[in-house]
Amino acid sequence: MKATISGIDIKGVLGIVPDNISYFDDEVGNYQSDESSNNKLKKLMGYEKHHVVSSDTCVSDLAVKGFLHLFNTQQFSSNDISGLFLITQTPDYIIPSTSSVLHGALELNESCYCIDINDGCNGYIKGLYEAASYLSNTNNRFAVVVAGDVLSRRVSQKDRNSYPLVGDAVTITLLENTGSTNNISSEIYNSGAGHQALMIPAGGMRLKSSLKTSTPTVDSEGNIRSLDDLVMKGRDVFTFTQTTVVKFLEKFINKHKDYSDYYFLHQANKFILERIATITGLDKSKVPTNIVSEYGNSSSATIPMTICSKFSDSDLSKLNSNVTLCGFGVGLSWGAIATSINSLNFCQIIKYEE
Amino acid sequence: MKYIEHIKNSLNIIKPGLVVNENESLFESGFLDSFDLVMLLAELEGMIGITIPMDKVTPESFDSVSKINEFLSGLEKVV
Repeated sequence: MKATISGIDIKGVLGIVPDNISYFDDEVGNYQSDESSNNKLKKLMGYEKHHVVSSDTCVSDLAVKGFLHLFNTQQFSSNDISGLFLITQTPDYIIPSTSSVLHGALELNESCYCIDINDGCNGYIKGLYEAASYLSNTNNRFAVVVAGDVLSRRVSQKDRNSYPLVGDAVTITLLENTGSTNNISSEIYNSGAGHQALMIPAGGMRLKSSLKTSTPTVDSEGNIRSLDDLVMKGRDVFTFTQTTVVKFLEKFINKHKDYSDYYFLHQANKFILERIATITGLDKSKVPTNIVSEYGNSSSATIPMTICSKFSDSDLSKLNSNVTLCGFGVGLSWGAIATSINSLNFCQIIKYEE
Repeated sequence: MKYIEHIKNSLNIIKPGLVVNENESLFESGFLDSFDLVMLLAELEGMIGITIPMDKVTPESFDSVSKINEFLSGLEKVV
């Protein structure tokens, strides 16, 4: 899918992370691997610390905290929101949608369009495209993209393939229909043949959760997890990022050469990001890679978290940055957006007190 | 046999004390896991000074010291 939408601007980005921090060094005792291997992995992948929720915190809890912060600081009001696009793989419930839960909690207008999109690492790209399309087609003024997960709740703490990597976060991105000359140029692709590379096997209708699915087993690499937990085929995912994603990004970058101030890529892990930058020939100073080591990989939230991390100390009123955003992961799905980020009203990361 | 020593040295860094013969299976046998592959790639790239194209890496091409050597030698011809 390729589309260019004009007249829509990103006006603010907020990240909300739980204040509970888990450190890789404290977790290594949970894994079967030896100390030497863990230390090398820490350095290579950027495992340092990650923010994780307590056992009962949900996506909507983090989102409500963020919205109340924005309302209280008078960035916008609940009446301003005409569209709410929520990207998550860890909804509060199977039924109803988490966007409906948020709609109620925030007392949004009945005319506000709400929708959940079940997606992860490429979800922010899809969410921005959907929200921009909505504003463009309805001529409404404001829409929000709420992207994030509390995936640590569905990852075994004894799974070295996934647990050290995963962080919890929710982000809120405000889009405004300004009628400006700004373009949001997007390309989005899918390869469902790879859907088993990243999945939680049980809990849906294909395999309902049961005592059996919650019973942990040991895999061939010594990781302990149950069918209710996330399983990541690391080698398949790594190969995907280094082949499909790299080839796509090279073409996209060449088509959008003016959008080169920063490349905000999904923060898979430090090693993957550095290899993508090397192979595509990107200036590494323009490719932030710090999110995994500071917050963890929070699926659809990592791109906006990276934007927050990069711009939060800038003079937001004077921002004038042509950027490329790129997501890739679960699905498998990948995509990118070339756009300008100018004069944001807000851009920061706040803490949710557990 | 150009890269045999590089590969053995890399393996020794990743798995100190690991002793395998050149034709012994590394992954199928369970000596190395998926993260070890990533670390092996990183060590080899640093040691040899190249970026290994992942679209050419197959499970078979990295499953023994001799196969990795064959792979890297073939890569040199392509490059």
